[in-house]
Amino acid sequence: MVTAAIWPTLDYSRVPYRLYHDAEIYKQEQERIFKGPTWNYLCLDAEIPRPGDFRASYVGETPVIVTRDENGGLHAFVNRCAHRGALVQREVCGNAKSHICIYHQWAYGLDGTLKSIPFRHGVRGKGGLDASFDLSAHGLQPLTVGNVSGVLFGTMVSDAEPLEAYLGKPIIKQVHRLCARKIKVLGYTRQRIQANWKLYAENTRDNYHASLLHEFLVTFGLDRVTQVGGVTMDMRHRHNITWSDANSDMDDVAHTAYADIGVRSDYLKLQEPGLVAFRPERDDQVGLAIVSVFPTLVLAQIGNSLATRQIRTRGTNEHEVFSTVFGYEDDPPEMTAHRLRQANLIGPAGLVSMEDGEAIEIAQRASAPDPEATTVVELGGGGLISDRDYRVNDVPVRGFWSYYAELMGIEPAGAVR
Amino acid sequence: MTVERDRIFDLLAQYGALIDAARYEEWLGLFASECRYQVMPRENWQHSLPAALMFCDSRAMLEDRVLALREANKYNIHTDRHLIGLPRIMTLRVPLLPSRRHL
Repeated sequence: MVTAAIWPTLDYSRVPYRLYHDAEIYKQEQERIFKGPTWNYLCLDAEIPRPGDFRASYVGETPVIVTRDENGGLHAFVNRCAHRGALVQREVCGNAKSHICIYHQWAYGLDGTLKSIPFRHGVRGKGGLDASFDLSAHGLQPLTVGNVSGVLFGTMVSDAEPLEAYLGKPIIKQVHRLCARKIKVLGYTRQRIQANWKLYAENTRDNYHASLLHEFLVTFGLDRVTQVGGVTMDMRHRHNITWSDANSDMDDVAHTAYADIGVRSDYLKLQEPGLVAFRPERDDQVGLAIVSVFPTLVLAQIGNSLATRQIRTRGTNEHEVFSTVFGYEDDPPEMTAHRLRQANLIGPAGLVSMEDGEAIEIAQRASAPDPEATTVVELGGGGLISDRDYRVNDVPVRGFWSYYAELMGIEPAGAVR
Repeated sequence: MTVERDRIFDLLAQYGALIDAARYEEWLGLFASECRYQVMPRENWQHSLPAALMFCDSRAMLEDRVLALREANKYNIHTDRHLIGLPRIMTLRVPLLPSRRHL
C-alpha cells in the first residue's frame, strides 16, 4: 500500500524509483487517475468527420471507441461487450452503422446503447433471455466527451470538473493555436517503449534534457537553451507548455554556453537545411511548443511538424506512444511536403525524438533494483512550483507529481502544489 | 531479364551487408542523387496517408541522416542483421544504369 510517506520531500524534488516499478501502484493509477476525475485525450474531431465514423482509442489500459452518430453527435464508450466482456470493435478505425460483438452478435448503436440480442426470446418459445431483461441497462459504458478546438477528450467519471477548467487558459490557448485551423491527418506512428509511462510524461516536462540528450539540436544550431523560452503551467501545475522562440539567441552567447560544458554547437551544416527551416505560420515566433496535458497527452509543435502523442500505458514496464501527425486542410502542397520532411525530426526514428525512448528505457532498467532510491528533480531550484522564463529547469516535472499525489491520495500534509 | 535480376539481387545483398557492417557512407553510394527513401508504417500505407517514419527525397537528405547518426544521435546499442525478402520483378520500365565498379 502506497502512502504519503513515500515522499522524502514536500516539493517532489525526490521521486522514489518504486513509483515506476510497483505493480500495485500501477493498478491504483488505473483506478484513481484514468478511471478518476481526469480528462483523457481520445482522438481528433477531424478523424471522424462523417456519421458512423469511429476510432479506437485508450484511456489508460481501457479500450474505448469514439464515434460520430447519425446526427453528427460525438460519443465515446468503453470497447467491451456487456455480455462476455469481449472487445466489440476490433478495427482501429472505419465507418459502421452499428458495433456488433463477434462472440454472440450483440449489437450496439453509434451512441453505445444496446440495440439487439440474437435469440433474445429463444427459439420456438424456448431459451433466450428472461422477459424482464432490460436492454437499456446493458449499453456500452459511456464516457463524457469534451471538444476543445477539435481535440477530443473523455472522462470516465460523471463529476469531473468542466474540461475548460481542467485544462486552464494557457493550455486552451495552445490547443487553439495549434488545432483551430481545419486539421488534416498525415499519418500515425507507434513506438513501444520498455519503460513506465510516467517516465515519458516527465520527459516532456523536462526542459533541461532537450539540448543535452538531443545533441542534433545543438550540433546543427537549431534549438539551444540560450534561446528565449521557458515553461508555462496551468494553475494546478499538472499540465505544462515548454516553449522557445525561433532564432532568438545570439550565436556567440550560445557557443560560449555550450563550450563551457564541452558540447560543440553549430559545427555541422545540413545539406538540406529545409529539413529544419522554420516557416512562421502564426502571429508569434514560437518555434517549439511541447504541450503536456495530464495524464497522457502531448501536443507537439517542433518547427512546422505537428503531432499529438498519446501515452498508452501497458503495465509497469511498458507503454506505447501513439502519434498522430497532422497539418491543415488549407496547406498548399508545398507546405504539406515541408511538414512531411520535418516529420523526420519526430517519432520512433525521429532525429530529435528517437533519443527519448532510449533515455527512459535505461532509466527504467537501472532504477529497478533499488525501489527506495530516488531521482533528483531540482533544476530551477526546489520549493515553489511556478512558471519559468528560462530553459534550464525541470520544475513542471514536480508539478506533474504534485497532481499525481493528489489523485492517488498520497499527497503529504504541507506539500507544495 | 536474368542479367537484370542478378544485378538487382546483388544490389540488395550489398545494401544489407553495408548497413550490417555500419558502412553507411558507402551505403549512400548505392543511391542516385535523385532518390526517394521512405520507411512507411503499414497503418499509413493501408490508409493512403503520407507520413513516414523516415522520409528522404534526395541523397543529400540521406547524407544528412547519416551525418546526424554519426555525430549527434543516441540510440540503443545494437547491431543490425538484415534479412532481405526475394524481390518480385513486375516490370522493368527503364534500362538499368551501367553497373558500378564498387558493386
